[in-house]
This record gives sequence, structure tokens and C-alpha cells, in this order.
Amino acid sequence: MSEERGEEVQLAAIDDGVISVEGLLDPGWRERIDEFACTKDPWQVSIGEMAEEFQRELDRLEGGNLDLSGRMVLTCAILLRAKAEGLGGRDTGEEEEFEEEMGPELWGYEEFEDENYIPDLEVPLKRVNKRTVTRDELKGAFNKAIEVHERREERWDEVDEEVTPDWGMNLEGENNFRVKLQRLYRKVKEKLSRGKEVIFSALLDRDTREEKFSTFMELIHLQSEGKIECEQEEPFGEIKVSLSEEESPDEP
Amino acid sequence: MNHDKFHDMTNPEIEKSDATSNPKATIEAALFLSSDPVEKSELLDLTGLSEEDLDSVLSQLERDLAEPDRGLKLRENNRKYSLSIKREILDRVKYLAPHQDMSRGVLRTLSVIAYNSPVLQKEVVEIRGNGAYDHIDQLIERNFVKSEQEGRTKLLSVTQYFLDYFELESLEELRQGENVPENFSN
Repeated sequence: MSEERGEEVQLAAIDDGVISVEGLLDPGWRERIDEFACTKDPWQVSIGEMAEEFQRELDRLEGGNLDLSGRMVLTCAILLRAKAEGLGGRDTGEEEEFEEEMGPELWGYEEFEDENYIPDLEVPLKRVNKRTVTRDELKGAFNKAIEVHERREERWDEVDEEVTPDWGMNLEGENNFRVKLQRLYRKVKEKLSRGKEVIFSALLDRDTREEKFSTFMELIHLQSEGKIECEQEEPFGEIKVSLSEEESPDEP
Repeated sequence: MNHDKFHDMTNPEIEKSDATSNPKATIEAALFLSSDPVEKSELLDLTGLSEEDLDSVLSQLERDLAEPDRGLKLRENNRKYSLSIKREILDRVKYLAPHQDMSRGVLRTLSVIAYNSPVLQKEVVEIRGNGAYDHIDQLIERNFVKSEQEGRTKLLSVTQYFLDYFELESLEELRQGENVPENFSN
């Protein structure tokens, strides 16, 4: 496993009740699975989904890391057992096997020869050991939360650089968008010279979503530059566009 | 909380006689055994005491546990009672019980709120992701956090119970400690 991949895995490990297949490559995977099985509701985990994710991971690995397969099987087994225990109570099964092997006649007590005899056993109650959180743990949790947040931000930044569309704003750099702004501004002024206000739909060249979006972006920019005023009386209603007071054509 | 929990565990006749003859011991045992805080109404059912008598027994138990040679303390929150380890001892014995009484995700969300209290819910969600909504609900339910409407979002701040839980005089005490992490919004 590469170092870079190791860092990615730590992020993808069990967090907030979610188990990821990649988390199984984390060095502390076993401890975390055990902790998860002890503290979380196992019904929140879909073993079916995990298996599908595992299949996809295998396809991606192309057999490169075979450690993962064994760990996946054990993880599913632990969770399956946790679910089974949730249904039927904790029972290792070892006691039953022992009883079957020995048989009551071998124990040497006459009462056990009676098939209906049920020994009067009392299982001691055991406390679930949960404790309060220390201040240091609270500080540690904050550090971890910030660390996870920063790494998540870094990943988003990387994704943004790769896939963010330019929405027509930077097709040929800022100048291109500036030309579009000037064109729209001239259009608004021209239409306003014939009336007091102009509506958004009258500014569209085409009735497409892309056109609506890019025109809307340009209007927002013009408004932020103080050249126009936009007003929408109700949500999703028509947007009325007028020149701002400073840009009013009536002014000398 | 399931009110039948304690009734299922013991013979009702035995439980009733023990609870009546020694309610303090019964309450102590119930609080020790339960993994979650026990409702006052459940303690009333369990002991058969009047509320006034139960308050008296709880006060007595609290005084007993407050003695310096005892390691536990009685904690009350929203009419729910629990036993917890005295904080001065906790660090020495915590390794014996690795599981905290809140999940890691909830604790991280609480820490973000605590170090930035008061803080807008949307800022907490921005840091912790959408799962924080559920965490915040749990923290409000457990009285660690309170929320006030602030425009379209909520303003979150820690409660007096949070300070009591961590035995803090104020949030400054938490923030001024050694190795205090920097505020995320700075």
C-alpha cells in the first residue's frame, strides 16, 4: 500500500458510524471494527452494500492487495455475529456443545437424569462499561474534527480544479465575460429607453437553461457593480430589471 | 428508557421488599447497572417512594458519594440520574473502560460547538458534514447543547450541564488550557 493511499484510507476509515471498505486497509482496522461492533447499532450497517463495495474495490485493485479480502470476510463475520447476538442475546455456543458432549448421566447427579430438570442458575449481571469523556479527549476530538475538515476541503479543492465547469464565464478568460456584461448592459439600457422597466425573460436570446443561467449570472454581476437594480416580488417570479439611480438615463 | 428493564431482571417480590427496606442501596445498584441515565419516574416506580422521600434518599446518596474516599459521584440531568467517575480519578482509571458515553462523531461535533460557542449551526455542519444535524439533535436531547433560532439557521451554545459534565467554571477555562486548538473560524 502506498503512503499516499494510506492517508486516504485514514480518512475513509470508520467515522460517524459508517464503514468503508478502504478503511479496512487502515493499520488500526481491527480495533476499530471491534469498537464499532461493541458501541454501534449493527443494524445501521448494510452488509450487502459493503459486499458490493468490496466487489467494486476488487475490480479496481485487480488482485493487487489480497489482504483486503480476508479482512473483509472477518469484518462481515464480526458484524453478522453482532447482529445475531442482537437478535438472540450473547451466547458463545461453547456451553451448549459442552453439555451435549458430556451428557447429564456423566455428571454424577441424580437430578440431571430427570429430563425436565432445570438447574437454578443465576447469571451475574454485568455492567456495560461506558465512562464520561475527559477534557483532553474533548480537545483531541476538536483537533481531529478540524483535521478531517481540512483534509476534506483539500480533497474538494482538488475535485473543483478537475471538474468545475466554467459556466461560460471564463471561456476565453475574464475579458470574454466582461464583453458579455457590456453587451447585456447595452441591451438593458436600450430596452429601458423604450419603457420604465424590463423583465428578465425579455433579455434572453434563447429559451434554454444555459442561456437563463448565464444571463442571470451576468445580471448579478451588473447589480453587484451598481449598474442595475433587480427586483423579484415573489420566489420564482419574474425578475424586473431597472437601471440604478447612478446609471439612470434621465440624469444629465 | 424501557420502564420494564429493572422489573424483568429480578423477581418482583424480592425487588419490592429490597427496594422498600433499603431504597438507597437499590438506587445505587440501579444506577450502577444501567448503561444510560435513569429517569426519576423509573426510580419512583422502582422504590415505591414518594417524590419527596426519593429526593431525600438521592440527596443522602449524593452526600455519601461526595466523601473523599468514594470514587463515584451522582449526576442529575433533566430528571435523569446516573453515576459517574469523579473527574480527578477518571484519568487514572479510564483505560479500564475504553468506551465513552458518546460516539466519536457526536463528541467531535460537541467539541466544535464547545470551542466556538455560540456558533451557527450551518458553520458546525460546514465543518462536520450533514451527519452533524443528527449529532446536534442528540446533544440537545442530552442537554449538552441548546439552540436558538437565528434567521434561517440556529445559534448553538453549550449548556450549564456541559460545564458541569466537564467540571468547568466557564468555557474560557476550556479554551485557555494548554495545547488548546485554534478556533476554526479564525
